[in-house]
Amino acid sequence: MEARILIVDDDAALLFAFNKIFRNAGYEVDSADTIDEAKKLIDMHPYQVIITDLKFDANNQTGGYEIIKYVKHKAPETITVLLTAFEAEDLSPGAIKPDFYLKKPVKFETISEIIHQIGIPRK
Amino acid sequence: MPRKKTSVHKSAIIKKRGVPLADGIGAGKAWLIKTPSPKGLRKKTTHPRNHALEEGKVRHAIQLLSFVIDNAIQQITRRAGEVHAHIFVALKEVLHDPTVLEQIVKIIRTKNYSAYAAIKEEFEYLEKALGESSLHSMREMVGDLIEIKQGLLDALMNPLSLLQDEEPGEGMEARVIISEHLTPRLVLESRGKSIRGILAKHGGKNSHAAILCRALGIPAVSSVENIVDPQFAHATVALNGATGEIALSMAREDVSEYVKTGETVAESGGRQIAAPEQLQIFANINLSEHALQAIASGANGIGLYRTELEFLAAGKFLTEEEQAIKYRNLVMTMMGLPVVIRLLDVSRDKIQPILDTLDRDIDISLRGADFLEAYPDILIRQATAIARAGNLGTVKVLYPMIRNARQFRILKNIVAGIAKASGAPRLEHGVMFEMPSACNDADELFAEADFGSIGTNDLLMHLFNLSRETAAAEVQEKSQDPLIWEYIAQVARSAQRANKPLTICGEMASQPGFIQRFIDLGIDSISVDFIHVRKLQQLIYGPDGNRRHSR
Repeated sequence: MEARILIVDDDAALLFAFNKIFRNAGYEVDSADTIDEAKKLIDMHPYQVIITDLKFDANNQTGGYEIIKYVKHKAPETITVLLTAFEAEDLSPGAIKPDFYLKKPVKFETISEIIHQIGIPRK
Repeated sequence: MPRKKTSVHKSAIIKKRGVPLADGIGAGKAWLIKTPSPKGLRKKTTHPRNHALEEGKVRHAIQLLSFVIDNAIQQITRRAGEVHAHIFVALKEVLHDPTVLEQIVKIIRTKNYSAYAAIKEEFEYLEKALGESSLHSMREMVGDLIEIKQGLLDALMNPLSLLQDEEPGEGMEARVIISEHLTPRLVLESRGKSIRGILAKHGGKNSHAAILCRALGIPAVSSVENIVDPQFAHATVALNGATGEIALSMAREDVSEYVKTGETVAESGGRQIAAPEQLQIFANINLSEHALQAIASGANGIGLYRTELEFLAAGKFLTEEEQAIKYRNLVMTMMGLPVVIRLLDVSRDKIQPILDTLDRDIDISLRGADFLEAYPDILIRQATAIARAGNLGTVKVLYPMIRNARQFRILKNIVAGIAKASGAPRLEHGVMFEMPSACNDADELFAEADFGSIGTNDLLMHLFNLSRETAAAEVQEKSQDPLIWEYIAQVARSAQRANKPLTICGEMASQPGFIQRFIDLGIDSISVDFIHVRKLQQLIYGPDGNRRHSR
């Protein structure tokens, strides 16, 4: 299976920076800045890791969980990482839990270590 | 009140001088960079119900800047190697320091400040605190803090400005950056933008940004008065990073010729210094873990290991065992190359942060050898730890701030006695010449010592009554004063009479313009921060550095 990472964040600058360091580090990366776009990509490609922000806009405080729920339904083996700058434990709707819950700021090395442990090969 | 403008005739050439930071001559059109003043969302206070939101903004900003720095680390690693990438690793460590985030959050919660105002307040407090430090290395960090503060404010207000275009700007005209502060990101962003040099109002010689300029070969000059002036926005500029000379033309003439008068590496055109075969280039290090970088730089050994900084880094007075591990690791890593371990050079500014880790009162007005003489138990603990590394390589003990031969004899007898009892009698003992009284006593001192080392930074301070707050430009000027050279010559003559090796270290040692003078005075070795070793070797031995190791 092709090793691929999906990064989802509605902040263009963060998405750009995130995308670039992972690409420079040798990973195959896709990125999406909306929930719908993320779902489309999940339909199109199998991902080994999905890293998503929690909040998407003022009207959607828990969009990250929606993505996690969607991917766990489509591909339960996908590892999910939820990033948030806010207290979010109580916001988890139902029993949906990410595999990794990280509060910003997170060092690149921390995420890289998670991916390394999963065993995703670099390009 | 309207700003009064200096009247400058269009065809006039304006000459200025600053502190040289990075060698080379650069010329081009001025590119005036003013610290951006973000508009909107700049309100100072917020309602308590928004505390979590503001905290989230801070966390998000740190996250974005962290990734931007990661990109910088990747770029620098590719362009200048891992050693220089550590400059950005250090920035990132400050950014991720949990106490910084805690303080910002505390400001938001207690003062109802917005994320913007809280970041600004915390970093301005840190900048002031470090800027007032008597420790030179701390003051050099102010540029990093300004960089992080500006980066965080950009991340909050104008995040896309953080994401510079990495593509080379083909066809762009040559430019020289003029900026208030010299920061690492400014240096990095100059890539591919036809930048020929950087002029800054603020920026220390040992700041991370200056180190980066040297690594990337970007000429730079700092401490340039009245340089960030809108009238220069359309001028042409030339700078000489070896001499600090600057020329500007409002008529946009080529002013390169006006800065080519001084002694520069660029002008030397590969001219080699007439160095004796036995001349050694040693590396200065602050932590034992820097040994690998010293080896990678091609140094002939460690000329100065500032052990007190190891204590400061650990945040406490190290035990004998903890010290022994560090010294043994260092000596083993150097694989037989000489290692000069300087005994604790304690001073008020260095010891203050770790004072409360001692279970007794000590007199922190004492420095160097005076401190070691007053507290022999601390000396004995360190000497025992050094002796445990003594048989693993070539270990030399350097005694700091020695006043006279009597004091050196007392301290040496203690250390030599411990070394003998520990089965490491091969330790060599050397005097650090930093006090004028020691220089005057050099003949007597060399009768007792195995080697000597001139610490030019403190010697300059003592001779000219300078302080660590003295502006870099003044220190630079004093380093050319005949008096300091008379003292260096006096110690060199004593070393030659006694047939003992003499090293020069301190800021002066890394200045290319002085190397031939040191050699002519009979100095046997030069010890510089490990980042300067390669450049110095190339200057002396030619482009390949002609590495030679002594055993």
